[in-house]
Amino acid sequence: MSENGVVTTAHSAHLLDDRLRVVLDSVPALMWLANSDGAAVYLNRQWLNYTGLPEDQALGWGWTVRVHQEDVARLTEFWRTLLASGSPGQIETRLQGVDGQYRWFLFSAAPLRDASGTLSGWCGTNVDIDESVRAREGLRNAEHHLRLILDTIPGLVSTATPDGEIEFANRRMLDYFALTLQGLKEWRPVIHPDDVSMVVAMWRRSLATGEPFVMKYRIRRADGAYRWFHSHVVAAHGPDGAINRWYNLLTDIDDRKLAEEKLRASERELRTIVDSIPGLVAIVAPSGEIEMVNRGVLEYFGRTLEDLQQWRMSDSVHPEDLPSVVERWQHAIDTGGPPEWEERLRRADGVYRWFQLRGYPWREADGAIKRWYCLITDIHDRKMAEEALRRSENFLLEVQRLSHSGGWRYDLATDTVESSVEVQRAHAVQPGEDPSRPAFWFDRIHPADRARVETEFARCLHEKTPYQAGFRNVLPDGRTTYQYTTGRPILNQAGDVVEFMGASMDMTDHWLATIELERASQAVRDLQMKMSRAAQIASVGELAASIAHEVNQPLTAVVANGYACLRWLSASPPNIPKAVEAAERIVKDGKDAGEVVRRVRSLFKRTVVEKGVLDINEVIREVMRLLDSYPARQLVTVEIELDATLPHIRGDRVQLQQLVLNLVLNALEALESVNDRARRLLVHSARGDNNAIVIAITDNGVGLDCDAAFEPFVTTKPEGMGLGLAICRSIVDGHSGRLSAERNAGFGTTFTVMLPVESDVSP
Amino acid sequence: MISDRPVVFVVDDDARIRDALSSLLTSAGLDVLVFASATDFLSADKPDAPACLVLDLQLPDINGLDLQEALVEREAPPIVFITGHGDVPSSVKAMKSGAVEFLSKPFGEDELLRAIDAAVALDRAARLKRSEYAELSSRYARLTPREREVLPFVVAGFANKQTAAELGTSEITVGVHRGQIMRKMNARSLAELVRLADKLGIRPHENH
Repeated sequence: MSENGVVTTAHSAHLLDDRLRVVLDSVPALMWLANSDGAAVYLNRQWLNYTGLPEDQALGWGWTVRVHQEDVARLTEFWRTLLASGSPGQIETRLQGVDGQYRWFLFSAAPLRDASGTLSGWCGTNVDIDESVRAREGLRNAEHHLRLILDTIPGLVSTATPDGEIEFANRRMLDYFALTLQGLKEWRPVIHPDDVSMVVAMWRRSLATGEPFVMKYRIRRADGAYRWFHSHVVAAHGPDGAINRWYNLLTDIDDRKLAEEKLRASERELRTIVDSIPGLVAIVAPSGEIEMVNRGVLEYFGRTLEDLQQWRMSDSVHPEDLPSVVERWQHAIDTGGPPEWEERLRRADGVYRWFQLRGYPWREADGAIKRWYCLITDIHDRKMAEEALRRSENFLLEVQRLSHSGGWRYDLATDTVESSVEVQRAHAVQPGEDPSRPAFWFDRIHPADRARVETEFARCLHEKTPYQAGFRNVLPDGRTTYQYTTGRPILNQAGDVVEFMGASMDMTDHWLATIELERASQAVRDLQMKMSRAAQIASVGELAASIAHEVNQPLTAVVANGYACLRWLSASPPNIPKAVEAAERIVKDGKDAGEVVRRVRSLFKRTVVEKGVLDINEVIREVMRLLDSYPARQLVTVEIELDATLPHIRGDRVQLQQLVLNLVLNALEALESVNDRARRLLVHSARGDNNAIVIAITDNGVGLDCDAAFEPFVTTKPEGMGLGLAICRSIVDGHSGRLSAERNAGFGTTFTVMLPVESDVSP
Repeated sequence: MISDRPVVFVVDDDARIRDALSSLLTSAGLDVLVFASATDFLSADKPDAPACLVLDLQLPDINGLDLQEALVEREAPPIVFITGHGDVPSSVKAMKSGAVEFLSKPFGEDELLRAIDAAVALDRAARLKRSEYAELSSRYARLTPREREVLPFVVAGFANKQTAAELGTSEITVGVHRGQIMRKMNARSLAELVRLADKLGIRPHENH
């Protein structure tokens, strides 16, 4: 057919006259002629130039090689329709240019008919519509994109005509309601019944005024559930200012709304909590202004928040506290340091109570303080109690100080001691010393007392018995003090000692007074002893010295007066009155001396010797007992060996006591200066020859000249006058006995008393 | 009251001794003041005269030896101890501490008076020495500081010229100072000035 067609076309084209050809070739458009079968018989120059096809190749159906492959089928169908109907037609196809690019052309064909109306062929133009087609395609793409956007955005979008009829709804909206666009045109049923009247009213208002509106309402989802949406309706205006469309964006805010409600609920709850806090809560702005207070604050002060905000100017804070509170607030605001202090606040009834204010700064992410949360707690009763406690503690401390006493507690588990201030003061705790160590307290104790106290404390601990001890302490400054301490064990349920609780009292003054008293009473005892010795024995060296002094004083005066008398007499002229005075004094002093001698004599000369039956061992024991507290006795090892089988003798008990005492004292004195050996004294009784009793008193002292020993006024003692042994001898003589002294082989002397036993004495 | 008549202080707690000694010493031409205790003695106003203290060793308030020690610092008169107990250690101690005599009661008249004479003589010498020194000191006090500087050179036998060179002054000035020193110190000769300076304990300037 193509070969046939070509022939036909060539034939037809040949029919055009040259003038028409020139015209057609000059038309600035692509033109063509075809025969009645549609095969091209002529393609104008523009056509050939555009496609770059030689005419002979283009004629007939050869031109279709330049049609876009995708358009060929459509074009073929087009032609078939044209040929069948003989009516004109248009189709858009792409033709390939000489440059190889396809462009869109509007292919218009019209039938050519002769006078009889018989179809003789076709003519047509190919108009370049490439740009408009592409623009159209672009538009289509954009619209598609927009729709995609509209369908994709997480919101329900609809548009409405200026009079309010819905004309578009995005896919999400249709899906959300499961309605068609048509179904959505009547939208009232999807609005929550409670909200619909308001939405309608708003919508009407906007339609009337052109104003946009924003509101929140509930709409029904396809499944019947209502959810909160945020609706934003705005109008789009045309160039003339008239509204040409309404847009509505519905955003699901149900979750947010719920969250908000929860938040509000939790705020309410918080408020309730804050109001229920049994304290006062205030929220304060960074500037220091009160923003909010809880109900407790309002009730306490009985003032409004506005009044309270003026607290700096009012009496809400106690006037005495106000300046410092203002200053502290300022300091907190300046430094951000958390406020904390105590202040007195005025209650509604005018009473001020103590409160503790404690603030906590709440900071923004950047660290700036956004507000202060302050908790104001009533501490009045506690503070009063503390005050009372402090007073009572002070009272106790004062009492302890005044009474020099205090408490202590020893905890066994930790092996530590707690002690009160006064006890520590009494023990002069030094810096660096640790009085919680038990050793500290024992270290203070006088070395001579320590072992006793420690032993006693250990015993009480062990036996769970109350403890008491008095002892000396030696303080770091060398002072000696005296403590009296008592304690008792605290037992647990198992009966074990958990701790010892006790009190300690500084008894130094008392102790010193006691010592003084003891010293005084010792002096009294000494004096008594001396007096008894003087009265009963009249033999001790001191007495002798005293007698000598007593005699010597008047004697001295006598001598001096004698000289004076002589001088007054031998002066020229003689001073008789003065000489007389001196002579009178001589007489008087001489009498004094005589009186002394008389007294001494009466001392020696006992009026009656009262002899009775007695046990000499008992006499010795009595004397030794008497000497137990005698200081010199303490330094000597005394051995007493008494023969229990001795017969009784007849004698003067007092004189024999004097005898033994005198000999023993004598021995002790002889031992006084012994330092190079143990001082020993042996008192011994035994049977002697001839039915006699022997008492031997042996010392290892300095020894004496035994021959002269019994002479009066012979002594080895610095203060003695040597009368003692002479008196001893006189006593022994009075009992028909014998007294002898012998130097020992080693050191010292043995005095031996031999007393006869009278036959009529029964044991 | 300044007097050269010696006075004897008797301190004894026994009135009989006080009376007897007072009578005896008065009869020997001495002024006597008696005291019953060391305290009385210490607190009493005493005449400014050569003196002697007759002191009992055993006093009720202060032991005689302790009083002796206490008196050492006080330019007190020499002491004659009297005692009833003539014990050796006490007497040694008393003598070592400068007691003139240590007499055991009863004592003889001669012993006592000799001891008192010796004690008074000692006190007289001490007083003289003290008054001489006081006189010299007052003379020395009249010297100007410069004259006191010059004095050690003078007594060391320095010529005025030498002294002037040492002290950085003129010979004439030193000569004037020298004249003033002689006058104020009441020295008739250089030899006397040297002797006075020596008594004052002023060391001659040493040449080096």
